[in-house]
Amino acid sequence: MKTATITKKLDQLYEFDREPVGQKNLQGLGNFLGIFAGEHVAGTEFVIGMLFVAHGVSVVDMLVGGLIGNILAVLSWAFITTPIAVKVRLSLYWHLKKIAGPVLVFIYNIVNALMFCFLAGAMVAVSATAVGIPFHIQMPELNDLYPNSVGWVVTVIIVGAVITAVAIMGFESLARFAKVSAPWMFLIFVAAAIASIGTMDVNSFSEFWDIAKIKIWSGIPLDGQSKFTMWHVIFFTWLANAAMHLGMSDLSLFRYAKKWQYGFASAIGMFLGHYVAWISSGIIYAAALYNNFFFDAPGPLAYNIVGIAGAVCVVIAGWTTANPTLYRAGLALQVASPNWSRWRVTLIAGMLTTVAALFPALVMKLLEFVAIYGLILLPMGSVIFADYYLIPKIGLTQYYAENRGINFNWAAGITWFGLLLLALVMNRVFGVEVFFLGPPVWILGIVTYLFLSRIYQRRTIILA
Amino acid sequence: MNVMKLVLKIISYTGLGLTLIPSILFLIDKIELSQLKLYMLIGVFVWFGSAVFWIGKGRSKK
Repeated sequence: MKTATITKKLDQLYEFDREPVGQKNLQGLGNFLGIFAGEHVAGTEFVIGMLFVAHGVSVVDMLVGGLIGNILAVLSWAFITTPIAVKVRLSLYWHLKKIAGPVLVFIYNIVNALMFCFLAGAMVAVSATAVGIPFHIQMPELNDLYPNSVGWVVTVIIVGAVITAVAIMGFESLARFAKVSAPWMFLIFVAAAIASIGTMDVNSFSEFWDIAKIKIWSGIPLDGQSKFTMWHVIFFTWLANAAMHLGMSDLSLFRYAKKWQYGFASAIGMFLGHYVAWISSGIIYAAALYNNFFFDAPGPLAYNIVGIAGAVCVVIAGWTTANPTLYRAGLALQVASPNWSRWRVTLIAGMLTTVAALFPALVMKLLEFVAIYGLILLPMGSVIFADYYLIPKIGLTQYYAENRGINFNWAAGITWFGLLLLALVMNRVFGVEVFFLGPPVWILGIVTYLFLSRIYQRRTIILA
Repeated sequence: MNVMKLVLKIISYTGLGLTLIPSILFLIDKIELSQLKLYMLIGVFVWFGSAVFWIGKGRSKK
């Protein structure tokens, strides 16, 4: 299919949000608070807090590092993403297309779709750990990377199929169910953590602090797990949603904000989901180990401490958060097949998601996956940032692809692929852990895009 | 707010109470773990049985 044809079909697909959001469509602060509160108490929170414990995070690292990381995340949304979103008021697709051109946006969407499928896969796997409980399925363990039993494979396929089928039949009704579930799910996290403390012979706060230091966040990693420091906690917490803030995906969300200050609404999601819920799931896991309950899967852990309510919470938490992720994956994937109906694209996304969910590595190495996911999309956030604030200041043309009518902005393309290659080299050759690569990649992305644009824009003008 | 919605909200918040309060009672040794699990299960039914009728109904996000 020719580029022009693909572009035309894609533009039709995103037609409904081609224009900047108008004054009458702006949303109040409550809407953003609700979205963040709902989307960041996800099934994966059950796993992340647990993995911090497994990686030997100390209590101070967890509490202080988590606090700093979440503050940095909120500041990133408030000072980097939202100010651009409320001035341009375009979705990421249209904004990026103006800068990078339709072909590069096409590639970006495909990559984004795959990342969403993997993320939804982690959520499906989380749900499956609870669904498998009554059938005594052999659950994946901390060091498992591949499917470890036929029962696990069958459970994941069934859960994946049901989630995909429901997503095809109606995203909206499940989105509403997610809204209903959110406050209850958060309280299940908190209640399970409180009950877990109750199983650890704690009679006063000072006793809890001692137990927290020695038994919960002991600072000693479990067998086969690397040691995490406070820096790991800060960088992971800050960049857990890097694709959304520094990577600018949330331009699509915040274009509806009345003021840039609405970026601070992210604080509710960060501090409920990425602080209280992570701390809670860490306590639940550590208490289980303390009581010689050796399970690494969220379903059995929640069931062990709060019974059926906990297992139901794990299923719902995985399901309701996999649903919007699957929707986004389908939307992003539709770029590859603009003629296909939404149900067919969702089916493909659901199948990819289910296959990904079969691999426990996605859950047990979730911290690494989340960091890689953010990293892959970060350079394009740098490009948007540089294009908005800096390109006009150095006398270059903003929205270059649109203004020059080009399909592929090489300055943006080389910035993206070049920095990912550099990140790979830094990781593989120099041993820099993936958690720490985000900020340097983002800053280098800005510098690289400005430098390459200076060469590219002059060259294009001369050639023209 | 009509009376029906008010009643539903009270029932829902009771469900949330049944979710959280038993864990505190368990922590201070007032109930057993089996009771905690039962109360929290009742909380599931009370919350979902009532909250679906008033949360997010008739309002669109965007």
